[in-house]
Amino acid sequence: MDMFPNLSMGFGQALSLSNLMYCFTGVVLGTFVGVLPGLGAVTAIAMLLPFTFGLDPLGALIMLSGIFYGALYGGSTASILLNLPGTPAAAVVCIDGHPMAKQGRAGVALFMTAVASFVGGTISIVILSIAAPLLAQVALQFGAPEYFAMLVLGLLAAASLAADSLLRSIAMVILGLLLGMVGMDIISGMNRFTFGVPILSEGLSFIIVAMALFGVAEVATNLEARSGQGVPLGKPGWRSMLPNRDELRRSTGAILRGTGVGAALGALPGAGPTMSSFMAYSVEKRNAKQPERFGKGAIEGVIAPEAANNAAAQTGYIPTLTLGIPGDAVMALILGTLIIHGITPGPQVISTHPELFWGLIASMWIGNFLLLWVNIPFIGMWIRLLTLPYRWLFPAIVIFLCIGVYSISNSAFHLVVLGALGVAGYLLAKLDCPAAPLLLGLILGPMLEENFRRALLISRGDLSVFIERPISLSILIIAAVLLLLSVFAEIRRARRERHAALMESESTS
Amino acid sequence: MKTIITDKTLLSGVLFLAIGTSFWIAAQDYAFGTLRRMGPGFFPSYLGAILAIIGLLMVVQTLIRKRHEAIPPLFLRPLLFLTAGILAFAALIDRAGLIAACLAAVLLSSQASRDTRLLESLVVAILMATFSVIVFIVLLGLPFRMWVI
Repeated sequence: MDMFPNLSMGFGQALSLSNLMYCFTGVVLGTFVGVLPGLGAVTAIAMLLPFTFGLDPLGALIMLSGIFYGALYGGSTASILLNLPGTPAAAVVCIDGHPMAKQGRAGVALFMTAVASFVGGTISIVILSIAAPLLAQVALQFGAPEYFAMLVLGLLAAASLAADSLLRSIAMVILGLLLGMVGMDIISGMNRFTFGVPILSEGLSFIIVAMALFGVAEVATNLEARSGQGVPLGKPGWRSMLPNRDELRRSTGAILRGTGVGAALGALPGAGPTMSSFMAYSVEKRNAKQPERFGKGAIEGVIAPEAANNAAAQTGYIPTLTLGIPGDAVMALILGTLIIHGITPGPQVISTHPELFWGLIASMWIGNFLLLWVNIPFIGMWIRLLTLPYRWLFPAIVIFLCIGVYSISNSAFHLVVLGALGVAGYLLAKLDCPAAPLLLGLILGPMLEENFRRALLISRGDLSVFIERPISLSILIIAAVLLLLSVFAEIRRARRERHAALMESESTS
Repeated sequence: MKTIITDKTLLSGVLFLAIGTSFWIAAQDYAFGTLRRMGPGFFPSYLGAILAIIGLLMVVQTLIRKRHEAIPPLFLRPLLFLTAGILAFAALIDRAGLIAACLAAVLLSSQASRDTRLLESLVVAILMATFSVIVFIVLLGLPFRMWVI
C-alpha cells in the first residue's frame, strides 16, 4: 500500500464541500464544548451521534472526530484563565497555565497551547497513517480466538490503567458487558433481560448510556460545585500573544517531548489524552534544569501536556480502527458510530473502506489547520463564551440530551431510561466507580460474546483453542501480566495506606 | 466503626454483589448450553457470578481495612429537578409536541440550581424552544411534532 496515492485519494474525499462543512462544524462545536467547563467531548459526541445517522459514514466520522480533537484545543482556555479545566485532559494545564495568566501572560499561554496542540496533532497524524495500515496487515490473520484475546486485553488495560481502584473498574467493565447482553441474543435470537419491554430487544443503546453517565450525571455533579456568575475576562491583543525568545527556546523541546509521550501512550488502550497529559507534565518537571519553576508559570508545563493530549487523540485511532478496540470513552463512541453505519470494526476496515480511513486522516490535517485559525484569531470570542453563567447553560444541555435521545428512535421510553441511568450514574460517580470502563464494556460486550462463542464453536468446545494458537496465547499472557502488575500495585498502595493510617494513629495517641 | 456503613468501597461492593446476583438469577431462565454449543444463558451467568464475586471481595476488603472513607454527601435537588425535566420532556413530546416539551423541560430542570431566576429561565426556555424548532424541525427535518392541540 502506497501512502501518497492513498493520502491524495483521502484529500479528494475530505475536500468535498459537504465533508469540509462537517469538518468545520465538528471542530467549531468541539472548541465550543472544550472551552465550556462541565461539557466534554464524550457528551457532545453522544448528543450529536443520533443526528449523524442520516449522513454517510465518512461524514459522520469526520464531524464526530472533529468534535473530539477540537475539544482538546479548546480545553486549555478555561484552565489558563479560570483555573478550571474545560476538559479532563486539560486539568494539568491549570498548574502552570493559571499562574501564567495571573502574571499577565495569558495571551502567550493561549497562543502557545494552540501551537503545541497543532504540532502534537499533526506529527501524530503522520504516525497514525503509517502505523495503522501496518498493524492492520498483521491483525488480518486474526481469527475468533485472537479477537477474543484482544478484546480481553483491551478491556483489562482500559480498566487497570484508567482508574485508581482496580476492583471497581473491572466491576464496571463487567457491568457494561452485562448491560450489553440486554436485547436480542445474536446467535439464538432469544430476548434477554428485556422484562417484556419490546423496545429493549433492540438492546440498550450506548448513546443513551453515554448521555446519562457523561451528560446527566455530570451536570448534576457540576451543579454542586458551581454557583454564581461567570468571571469577566480581558481579551489579549496580538502583541501579548507572542512568546519571547527565551520562552520559544524552551518550548521547542517541550512540545516534541510532549508529542512523543502522547503518541506512545495514546496508542495503548486505556491511556488516552488525559493520562498522557499528566505523564507529559511529570516528564517535563523531571527533566527541567530548575524544577522549582513548575507550578509558578513554567511554559513547558503548559504546552507539553497540550501537545501530548492532542498527539494521544490521534494515535488513539490506531487500535480503534485496526483492531476494533477503543482505548477510552470517546474512541468507544467512534467505534459505535462505525457499527451503527454498518461497518464491522476490525483490521479489514482499512482495506475494504480505504476512502473512509484515508478520508478521515485527510480531514484531521484539514481540521488541525482549521483549529489553528479558529483558536488564535478568534480567541476573544471563546473567552467571552466563558462569561456565560452555568445556570443558563445547563438547561440547554438538558434539552440537547433529551432531543438527542428521543431522535434515536422517536421513543419516549428511551427518555425514561435516560433519566433512570442518569440517577444511577450520579450514584456510581459518588462511589468513585468510573464510567468509561462501563461504556467500553457495553460497546464491546456483544463482540466479546460473539467471538468467544464462535471460537468454541470452531474448536468443538475445547477451551485450549485460546492457548494453542500462538498469537492468542501471547496476547492472553500480556493480559495476565498486566492484571498481575495492577494487582501488585493495588496491594502496595493498600499497604502504604495502612502504614500511613498507623503513623497517624501513633502520632495522635 | 460507625463509618463502616457509609464506606464507599462497602457500598460499591454491596451494589455489585446485588447486581451480579440479579443478573445471575435472571440468566438461569435462559438455556445454558454446553461449551461446544453455548446457549444465551452461558455468558451472562458467568459474568453475573464474576461481578457478584468482585462485589464480595470489595465487602471483605472493607471489613479488614482499618480506615474507612465515607460516601460524599448526595445533593438531591439537582438530581431531582434534572430528572423531572427529562421526564416532563418524555411525557410531553408525543402528546403536546416539541415546543411544550422544551418549555417544560427548561423550566423544571433550571430549578436544579439555586441561582436560577424565574425570568431568566423563561428567556432560556423560549430561546431553546425556538432554536430547537428551527434547527431540528426546519433545518434537519426530524419527524418531530411541533405543536399538538
